[in-house]
Amino acid sequence: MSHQFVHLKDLRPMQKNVNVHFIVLEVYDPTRTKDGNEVRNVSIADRTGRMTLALWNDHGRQVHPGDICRVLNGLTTVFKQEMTLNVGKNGELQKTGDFMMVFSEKPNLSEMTPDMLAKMQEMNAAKAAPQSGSGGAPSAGRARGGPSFSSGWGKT
Amino acid sequence: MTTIPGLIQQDAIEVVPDAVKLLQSAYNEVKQLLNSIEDSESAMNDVLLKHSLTSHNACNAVQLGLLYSSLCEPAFAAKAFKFLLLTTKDNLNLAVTEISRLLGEYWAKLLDTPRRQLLWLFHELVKSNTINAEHVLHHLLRRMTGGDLSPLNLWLVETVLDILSQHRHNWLDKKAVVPVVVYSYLRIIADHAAPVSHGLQGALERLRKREIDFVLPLLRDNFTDCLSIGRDLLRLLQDLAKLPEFERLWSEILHSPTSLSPKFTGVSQLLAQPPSPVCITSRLTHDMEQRIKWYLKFVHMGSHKRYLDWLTRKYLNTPESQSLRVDWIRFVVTQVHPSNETIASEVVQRWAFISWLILSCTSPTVVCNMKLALYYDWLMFDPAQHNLMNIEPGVLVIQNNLARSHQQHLAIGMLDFLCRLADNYYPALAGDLRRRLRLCLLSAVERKVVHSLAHIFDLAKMDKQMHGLLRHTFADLVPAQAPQAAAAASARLPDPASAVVGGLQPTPIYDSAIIVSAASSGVSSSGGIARQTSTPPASSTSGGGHHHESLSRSATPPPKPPTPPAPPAPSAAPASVQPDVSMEPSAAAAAAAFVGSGGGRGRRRSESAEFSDAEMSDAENGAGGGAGGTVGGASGAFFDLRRDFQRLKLRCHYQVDRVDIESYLQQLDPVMRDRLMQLRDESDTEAQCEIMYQVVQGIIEEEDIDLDFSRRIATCLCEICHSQLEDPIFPGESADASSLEDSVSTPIFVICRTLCQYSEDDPKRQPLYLLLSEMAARHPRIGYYLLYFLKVDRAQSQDDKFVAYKEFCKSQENPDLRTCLFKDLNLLAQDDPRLLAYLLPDVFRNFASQCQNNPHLMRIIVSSIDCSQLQTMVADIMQGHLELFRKDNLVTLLRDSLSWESVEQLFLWQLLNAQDLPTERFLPLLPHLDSGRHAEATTNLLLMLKLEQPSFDLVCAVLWREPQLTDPLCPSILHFWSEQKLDRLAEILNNCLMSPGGGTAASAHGGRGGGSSRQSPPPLEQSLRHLDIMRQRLRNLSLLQHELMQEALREVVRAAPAELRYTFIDLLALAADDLDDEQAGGRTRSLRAVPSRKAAAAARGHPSSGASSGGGSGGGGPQKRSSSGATRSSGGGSSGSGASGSGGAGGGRGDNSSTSSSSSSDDDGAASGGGSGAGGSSGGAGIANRRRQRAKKRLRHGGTSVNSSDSGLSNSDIFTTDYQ
Repeated sequence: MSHQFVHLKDLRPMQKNVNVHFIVLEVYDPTRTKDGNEVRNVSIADRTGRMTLALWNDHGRQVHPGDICRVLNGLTTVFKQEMTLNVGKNGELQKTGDFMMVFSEKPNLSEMTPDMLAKMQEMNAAKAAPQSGSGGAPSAGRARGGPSFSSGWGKT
Repeated sequence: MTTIPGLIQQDAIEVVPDAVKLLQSAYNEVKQLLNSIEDSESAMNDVLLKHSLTSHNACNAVQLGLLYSSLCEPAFAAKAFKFLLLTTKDNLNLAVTEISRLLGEYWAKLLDTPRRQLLWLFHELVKSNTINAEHVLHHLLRRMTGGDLSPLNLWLVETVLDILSQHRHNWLDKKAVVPVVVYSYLRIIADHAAPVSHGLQGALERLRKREIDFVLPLLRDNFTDCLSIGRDLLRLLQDLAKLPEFERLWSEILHSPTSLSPKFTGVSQLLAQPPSPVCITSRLTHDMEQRIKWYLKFVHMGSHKRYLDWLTRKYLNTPESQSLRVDWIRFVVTQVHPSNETIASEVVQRWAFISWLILSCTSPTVVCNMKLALYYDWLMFDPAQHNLMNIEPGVLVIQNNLARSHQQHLAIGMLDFLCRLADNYYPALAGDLRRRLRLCLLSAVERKVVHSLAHIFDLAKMDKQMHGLLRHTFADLVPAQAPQAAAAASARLPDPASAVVGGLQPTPIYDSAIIVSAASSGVSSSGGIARQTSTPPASSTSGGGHHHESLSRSATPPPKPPTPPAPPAPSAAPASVQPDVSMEPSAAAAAAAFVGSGGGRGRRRSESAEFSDAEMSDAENGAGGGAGGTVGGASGAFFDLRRDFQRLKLRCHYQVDRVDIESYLQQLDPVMRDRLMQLRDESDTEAQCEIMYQVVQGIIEEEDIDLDFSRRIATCLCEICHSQLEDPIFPGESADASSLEDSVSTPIFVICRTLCQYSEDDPKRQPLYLLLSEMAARHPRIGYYLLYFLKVDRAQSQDDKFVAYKEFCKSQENPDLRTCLFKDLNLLAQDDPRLLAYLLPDVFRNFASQCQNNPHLMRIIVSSIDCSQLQTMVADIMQGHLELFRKDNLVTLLRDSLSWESVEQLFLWQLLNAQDLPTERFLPLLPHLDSGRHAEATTNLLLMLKLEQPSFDLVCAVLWREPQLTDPLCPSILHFWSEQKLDRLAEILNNCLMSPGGGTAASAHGGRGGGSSRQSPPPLEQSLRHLDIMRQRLRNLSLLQHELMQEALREVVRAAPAELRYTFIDLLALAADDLDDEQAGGRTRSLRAVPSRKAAAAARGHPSSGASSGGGSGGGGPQKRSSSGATRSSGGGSSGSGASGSGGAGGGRGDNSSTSSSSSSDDDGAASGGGSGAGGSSGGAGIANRRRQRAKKRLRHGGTSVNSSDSGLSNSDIFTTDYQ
């Protein structure tokens, strides 16, 4: 399988099947969910910015600051108005190295821009209407959505 | 399939390295081969041999499989190794490469069994005397980390020791190996000799004894070879000199060197020998080397903290590991030499890394050793032979830390250390060492590492004791302290900021020397002189550290034994006296430059350092602002001083000796003598003029004028008018006509006036020319006096008044007008820049061909003027009075100016800007500009381009620049234009990309060298690289998203050769999204492209055989070309030719221009080539994947005999380049 990797800055809320490559900056203390799972927030970055990644159970114990990892087929969610990257059920977390990756801690890409928030509300509103065809070609849908988002993003 | 025995231990999320996968698959292959055959060794061997003969790959698989087996299956290992020897066709090259890779990259992850087996394998290799065993040995030695007392490391040290001492004769003849072994073990012994707190003491002592028993004879027997280790051999040995076993060796080194080796003449020989790179590098593991080099190449100031944390956590977090820092410093100082680009960029510099290593160290002993490691190359520095880059970090550590209020103690500690080092390190050589240290600093100034020594010997920041010490060591380099400086010192020291920062330091991590000097400087602020006097003995013991003690202890007590053959001191003395003398002027020049104008590279450097400092510490803001203020004040003061100098016209450049003219007077005829004596005794100017007139008339009327006569008269006149020639003549720019008139009403100008009374061809002028040139030979100012007179005097006709000056020049000894003129103007520039500015319009008008665009004259001008003259000149230029430049051949001047002082260049650019020169005249300068070194010109050119509208020629000229990530020019101007004239720029770039230029460097040069009026666009790759840099550096990519750019990029994706597409994956990905969409629609229409698709696939199958398949793929082309030609007349043809010229892979695709049908065939090819069915995703990832795979293949098949560490490096390089 070959993957097309995207930069963190190109991630949008509620995306699926994303592949990203990043370096781990910080691993925070775990919190426990009601059903006993351990969830750690992990601060990750690539050269376009920083973002939060949520790791469950073993995954969270296996990454350390300075590790270079990738998430394959991950997804983005929005939690407390912050965009978070998740590995998800179908996703995969891989460690490929450490240290030797350039990153930038700014901007914090988990912070949602007004554009994104507006788009989110739109999407939530549209949820009521049935969605057609989006499941069939998720990557094409994303590719088309990308440029329109990024042009708005570049100006803010 | 059976389960494979494990090789490495990994977390679940870690990707199994490709190298390991390959080994495992080879292992499976071998296992399957041997599956059926049990026990019969010969049968097994037959099967393996037969299989390895089938193909190259099979042969490799057998080797790797057997290697894996001997690593992971101890029971089968002996057999596997035997088979390995029997089946190898390359002297075990492949196996050794893999072993080295495992050692270099995966040692920490190896399971216990493979680790043991690996050493067993090494043993076998040494036993069987394999040629390649030394490669493995190198990697094993690198694995024996200094400062690591973990059981694993001790086991490794001991096991290798066992093997080496057991089979001494198998490797001893390999001369290259001995020094590294000796160096490594000497370093390890130092670790094992250090006192340890925990229970290891006994085991360590035993091990140390074994190590010494091994290394000491080895060193003695091969001392000549070991000299190649260089000065670091001495550095390690002096650490060990206190051990009883080394005492004798040490005293022999000091006192009877020839007994060790006939080629060894003593300590100074070793000190002068640069360290062996192999030895220095051997003290770092492969991954340390990789990380440190990467850190110093890619990490920018600001994000460096996390990396340092990670480095600390990984390598430096145990108490023993402190000593590793010393090895790191030696490595960074001598082996990591960043390029000028890196130095000019924001990337963390070596001095910052080293300062961090020192400041974060908690052991005073280690800090002392680190200082020695940092300054070790200074001791015997010879600028002709040694690399200044070994000196650079030491200089910058002092300068840049001294500039930060809270780290001054580090810099002062360093200076203190240096002084004591020179005196105590080897007292027999103390004088020479001091001279070398001075030489280091002078070289650093000369080569612009630092701008001047003012920031190093910043006495205001140090106490008196330090001043004395510095002056003792660095003599005249240290400025005499001005009274204000003392006042400043007392004002500065109670600075609360530094006290607060000092108090905030949680642990006393500085070495005692620093603390002492910090304390003493703190004390002096509160007036504790008594304490100060008590410090010298304290700091001399602690500051000197145990090194000096050890060296001097052994070196001083014996009352100078008869030093064998060449006593170092006398032989070195004459050699080093000379450079000292020759260096003096350059130091003075540097100092003068600092006072005068400042600028140059050194200055820029220190500014960037200050900038990064600001990032390093937020707490510094207040102090930084204060410092900036004082600097501004100082430069203001300098400015005032400079003005004063000019007003006073201190003529310090030359002096004319007074002569006694009595004897000359006596030789003249009585009439003339009387007149001259009258002239001498007269005090009223008008009367003097009267007499002078008579004198001149007398000369004209003289019957036979010979040279002697005019010489005598000239001498007398010069002497009599001496005071006039020494006084300033020019009343000022703003003087009115009458005061100008007054200024030329002195006797000396009577000669000029008389001269001008006669017409040009009047023979009466001749004696006066002769007189003037004879006077000029004695008093050179006459030349510009004449110029001034010609300008001011209004009696003559305007057109040809400077003819008199031309004639005057002709009558001189050297009758060249240009030489003469420049000599006069040069003198004038030094005497009175205001007058120079006043005269320039006329000079340039009358001598345009001599003056315009002349770099020499221009430099004279810009080096002497200041802002007010600049203003005058700019005003003159804009009013049309002055024309400094002409359009043609401007570049010679511009190129020459690149080496001038900063301020000179800035003035020049101001003048250039004042004159309305067409921008295209400046374009030929573009390729010569290095933004790192020529910031002045780059900046000004950038501003000049900013005023222009983008045009095809301009954009091409910009794109012709060498694309570099650190070069601000191209991205800046492209971005600026894209903001102003987006559509126009996109159109031009579209043109450039669609019809790229010749493509080869040779044709590029031809195009530029010819100076053709129309610029040709650069090769496609270069344009793309610029765009790629722009993409990386800028956030706003509206240019790249412009429709025309997207079109051009898509065209590139389709038509460019495959290599280009690999290189610019990220850039082209910006256009790739749309390509996806087009594909979906285009697939149905792809039938027509079938022939070219086949050709492309064929070409892709053999990327190296481009030439042969180029023809075939070209066959698919023409049928498409007609359609592309219809849509775009200019672009299609040349892009096709460019692509086919650069390789077959692109040939097939060169024709698929604008229709989407062919793009789908393209992508099919990419997917099949990658062999990984990418499906709907774009070609980008497929390409990356394939690129990696191909690189891997190269690693595996090609050049297995190459040094294995190289292959390891290149492997990881692939990753860093992908994701940096």
